[in-house]
Amino acid sequence: MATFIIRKLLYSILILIGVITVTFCLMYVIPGDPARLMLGQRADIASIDAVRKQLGLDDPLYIQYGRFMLKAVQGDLGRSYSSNRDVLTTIIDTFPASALLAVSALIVSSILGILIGVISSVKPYTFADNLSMLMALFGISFPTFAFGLIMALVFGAWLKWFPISGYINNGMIYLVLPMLTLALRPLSIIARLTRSSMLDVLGHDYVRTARAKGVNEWKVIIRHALRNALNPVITTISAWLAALLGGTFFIEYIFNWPGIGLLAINSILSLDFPMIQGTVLFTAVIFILVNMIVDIIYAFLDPKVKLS
Amino acid sequence: MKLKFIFRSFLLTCITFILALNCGKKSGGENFTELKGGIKGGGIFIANENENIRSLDPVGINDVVSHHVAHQIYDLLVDLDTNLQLKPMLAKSWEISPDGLIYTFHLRNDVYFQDNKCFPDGKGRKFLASDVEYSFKRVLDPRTGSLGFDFYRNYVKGAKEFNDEITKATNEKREPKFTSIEGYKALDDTTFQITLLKPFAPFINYMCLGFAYIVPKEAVEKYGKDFFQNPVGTGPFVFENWTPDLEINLKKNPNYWYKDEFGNNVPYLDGVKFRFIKDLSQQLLEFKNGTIYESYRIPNELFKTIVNDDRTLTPEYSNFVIQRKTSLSTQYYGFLVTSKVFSDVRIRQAFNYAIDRDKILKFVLQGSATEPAIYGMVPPVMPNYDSKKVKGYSFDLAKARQLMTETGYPDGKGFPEVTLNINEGGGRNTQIAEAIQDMLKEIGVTVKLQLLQFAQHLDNIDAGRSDFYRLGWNADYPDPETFLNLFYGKNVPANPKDVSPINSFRYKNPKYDELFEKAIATTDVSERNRLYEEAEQIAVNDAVCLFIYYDEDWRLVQNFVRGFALDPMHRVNMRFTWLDK
Repeated sequence: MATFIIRKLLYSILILIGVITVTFCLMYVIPGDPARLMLGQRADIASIDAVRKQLGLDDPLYIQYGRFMLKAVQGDLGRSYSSNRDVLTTIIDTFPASALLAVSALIVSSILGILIGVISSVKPYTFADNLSMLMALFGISFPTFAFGLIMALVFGAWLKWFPISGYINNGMIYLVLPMLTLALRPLSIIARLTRSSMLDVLGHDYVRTARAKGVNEWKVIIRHALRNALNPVITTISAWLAALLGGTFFIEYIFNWPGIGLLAINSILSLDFPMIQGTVLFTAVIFILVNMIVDIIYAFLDPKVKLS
Repeated sequence: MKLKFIFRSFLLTCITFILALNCGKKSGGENFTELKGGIKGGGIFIANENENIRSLDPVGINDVVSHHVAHQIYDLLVDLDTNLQLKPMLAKSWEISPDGLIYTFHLRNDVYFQDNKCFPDGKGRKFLASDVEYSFKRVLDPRTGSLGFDFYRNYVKGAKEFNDEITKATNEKREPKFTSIEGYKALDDTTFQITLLKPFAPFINYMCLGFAYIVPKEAVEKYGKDFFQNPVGTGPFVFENWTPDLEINLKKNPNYWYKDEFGNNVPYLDGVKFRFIKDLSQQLLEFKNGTIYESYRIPNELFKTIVNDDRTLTPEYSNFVIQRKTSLSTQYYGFLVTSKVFSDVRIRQAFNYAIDRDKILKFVLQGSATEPAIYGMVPPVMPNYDSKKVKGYSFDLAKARQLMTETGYPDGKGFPEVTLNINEGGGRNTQIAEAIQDMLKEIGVTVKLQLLQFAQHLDNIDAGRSDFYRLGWNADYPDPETFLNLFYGKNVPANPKDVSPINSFRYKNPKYDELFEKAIATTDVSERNRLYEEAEQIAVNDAVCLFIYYDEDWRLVQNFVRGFALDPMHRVNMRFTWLDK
């Protein structure tokens, strides 16, 4: 077990170094001068040079890279060019918003997805099943950002049931639209996966035996079938956690949700290099950590998977 | 049966959930009091900004949005009213010596900083002339991360030496040899004096910039690098909290020094909330829902559904109030006058004559801009300046064709294809470019459009890689110099390979430079403006750019908002704002 975790950690460090290097290089290939953007259109050459010096942008690339790596190891990701905030503190302050959105969306999508999947599998090829699977297909294929805009328009602007943008400091109701939008795709996938997995399990001998013994039908479904059908579903849910934690950019932008995604988009638009590096690095760490935890959990859940 | 039961239970859970969430929503329980003059006191004004703010430390305030928030927290020595005329603020009065070199400000002695734990007993102390000296020095100190020293360095006596010495000392990791600026002097507690190196008439406007807000030394020293998010000033509202990307909350400063004409204490509001919804359509939806009280700028594609041809609101929006003001900004396409294609003034003039600006205003902008740019660079709304005396270009296709023929390109034959660089953002940029592309076809010119991200766009322009490009210019302050400086030849570097960020046209005309220099050194307003006009006419005759239109600002506000005027520079002042709820 310890060997497994150490090996995973070593791989993770390599991946992180790779991510930092690629992001660093990419940013210096992108045209545009952050000092010029900060100073505005009026800036004279002397001021641009002075600000470039302040930001350390006048040093050769390898020195900037070395300085960044050295500081990053010490937990110092620098200060934002555009807001002057400490990058790590900003990310840590912002992360709870993204985590709340991702976790709540995952909970909703898991509960509803499993429920719909079970109902579809119990009544296969009926109207309810066909309708659920059609909706799941829609959920998988419909672009999330477009769905978000429609949700904002229908439930925010027309029906006025929910606020369109903002955060939960003004009430939990602000969570509803972004959460449901984000939940759409994982919900659809979980529903389809649960259905197919359940249909497979329901055909097994031990289910037939349970029924023959006269066990209550719902007990058969929940205790005998669902429990065994859930393995692939749980793996999918865990994998989605990492994806949702790092991939809520559009949703956060549409609903003005102050999370990592919105922070990253704004940083990119203002060429705020330290903040872009910080958000990319942080997202990579989350991805790696969640995937590692999923690997470990999966190994525990399924004895066929060996940690070694 | 069981399926129906599950479905019903699910529906019931959803309804309960929605109700529960709505119960958790904070109610807008606001208390209002009747004040003298029929004004109501109380309530929170919910503003919205379309961009993030950069800093609340004056040394970093060079963007409009930071200025909007900071203007409620801090005070300036001198402010601008909604007609962009100078008015006293912390300085009761001021005088400028006849030679234009010495500015003396007489300060109020009844002003206190906001209560804050940076002060020994948490109680705000009295504002003094030494605070002005301290605040202004910070702007020239590179250690503060200042973005504003270019405004003052070349004009204030001793500013350049101070700036250079601090930079040198920081690089050499030693203490600076001197820490004072000769041109900034607190003569006593209520008199502050600025001495300039040379006469520079627009300088008084520099007192209204975001860099000129007054801060207390105690707060800067207590909060250090985090002062930008713990601002303390003498302004009408006290900073409460800031959630980046989301909102900033300010509450009333009960000890604010200003009293209105009726004897009421200012401000009237209990607080201000700034929200940060960047998308204009989303902003409009929130505004319609009543969750924000203002919606600045109308998306071009929705303009006709909101505003009638007679500039009133359509029935769907008739419950709201529309404000519109010609803004102090000009939209133009720049020519790189040193480029092979645009080095001949007749080509640049032909382009200017070939554009039907009225059509662009009517069909592309659908009436959302004030007027076509038929004068020059300085918009007609510039206070104390008669832009209309400058003769610009009107649509004259025959003349445009004739000029093309004179330059050896009859009907555009043999004229090379031109690339017009425009930046992303704002659909109207592309729409206008397409219209101009079509109009230039009429004189046989083929234009290729190239859409670039703004940073790259600026980079190319500065480096002289764009021969023909879109830009707009918004005034930093209400003096023609802010526009005409763009044509000043001394802003062009000697080496053509160096970047030229201000005069990106790389235009040089000794006669223009002479008049411009004379104008900025002239303290008499009418003589100065005459010189500006003369200089501007030269640049317009030289067709340095293709002038397109003078912009107009549109803002929707809720019908219960009072005392919230729109000015041509889109400055925000909530000292006199109140809610008639």
